[in-house]
Amino acid sequence: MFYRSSNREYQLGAVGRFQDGAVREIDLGRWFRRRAGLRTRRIDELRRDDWTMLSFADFLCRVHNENAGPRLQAVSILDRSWIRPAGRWLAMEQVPPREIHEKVWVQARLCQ
Amino acid sequence: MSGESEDFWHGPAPAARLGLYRLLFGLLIFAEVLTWLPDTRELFSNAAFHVPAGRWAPSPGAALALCLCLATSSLFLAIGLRTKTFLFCTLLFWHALVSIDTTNERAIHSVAQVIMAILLFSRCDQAYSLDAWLGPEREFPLPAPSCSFPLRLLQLEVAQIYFFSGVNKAATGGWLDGSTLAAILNSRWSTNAGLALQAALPDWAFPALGTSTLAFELLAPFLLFTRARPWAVAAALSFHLGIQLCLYVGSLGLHFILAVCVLFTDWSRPSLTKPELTVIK
Repeated sequence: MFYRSSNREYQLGAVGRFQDGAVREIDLGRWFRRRAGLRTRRIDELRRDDWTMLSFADFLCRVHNENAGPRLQAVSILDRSWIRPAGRWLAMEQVPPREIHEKVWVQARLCQ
Repeated sequence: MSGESEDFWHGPAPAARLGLYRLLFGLLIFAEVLTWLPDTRELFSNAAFHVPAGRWAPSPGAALALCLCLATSSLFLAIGLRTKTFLFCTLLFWHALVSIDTTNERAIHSVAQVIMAILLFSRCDQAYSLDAWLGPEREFPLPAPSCSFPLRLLQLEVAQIYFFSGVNKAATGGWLDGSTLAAILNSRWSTNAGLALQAALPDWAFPALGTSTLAFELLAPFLLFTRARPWAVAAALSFHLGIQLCLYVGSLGLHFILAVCVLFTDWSRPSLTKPELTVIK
């Protein structure tokens, strides 16, 4: 479980493009509540590989579009990470945006 | 097989030890399953995302029912009522649930399966169980000794985990110079105590603690079977209590504390052991 142990924190995120034209963050907390540790969600511990990330994007399309609301047309999966100072916890909300590194795993995957 | 080896594998062992281990192991499994209950939909159902994707998973209702069955069977395993039946059910339900998803997979998931499989073929129902209390022989709480083979298998299971964890650490590096330990204590898996410790420890402490960890994992598996066992048990307790205090590892540490305290330590009171027969002429 410690294979990614470092002082770099990370959090998985998803941005959707909706039928009404809006592009906004998808609240993953609707489907993922389980904590994997004191400061990490189960979903943040997903394997970072193309196949898993594409499957995750397809899953988000499916579960979102099963429910009411503007239909999701495309979804991007992002990994946000930031450096934490030694000896204390630092949540993403406490970090200046310019210090958050974003890696795009899936770029605008079209929903079926 | 030499006499000494025969005695090691098949000699008499206090049945109370396996009974006590089964009781506490069952309670740990029960406690773990209780933490799953609020999240069965996300953890085990076909409405959630799992890795690998596309694997069979039950409906949300069935996932909750399976989890409740596991909680019930593990509780019955702990109290020792229809012990073998509920041990088998616990193994079955546990395997069915933990194999659905490998996200954030825990070592204890597979370790527990091996332990349950060994217990299934042991006389762990002979002591500290309602089966023993209600049974015709009424050997409650301490029955006569039984064959040591299952106990040895459980001991070896624990010992090999230590040893191969040590081999893996030695192969991957970073433990002798302390860099890996420093990174782990400053990672997202660290507790507040772990973070504070990482910041407070002097630089020389990390190589010392890293080397101690490596030495413990490589030597303890052997020392646990020698006269140095009390020292190895004490070292194991310090090791696991330290990890539990500093890192978020779930119930793994508690399982190891239980194993070294019960499987490697004889808690039988001398007054309750079977007296030796003496022939008076």
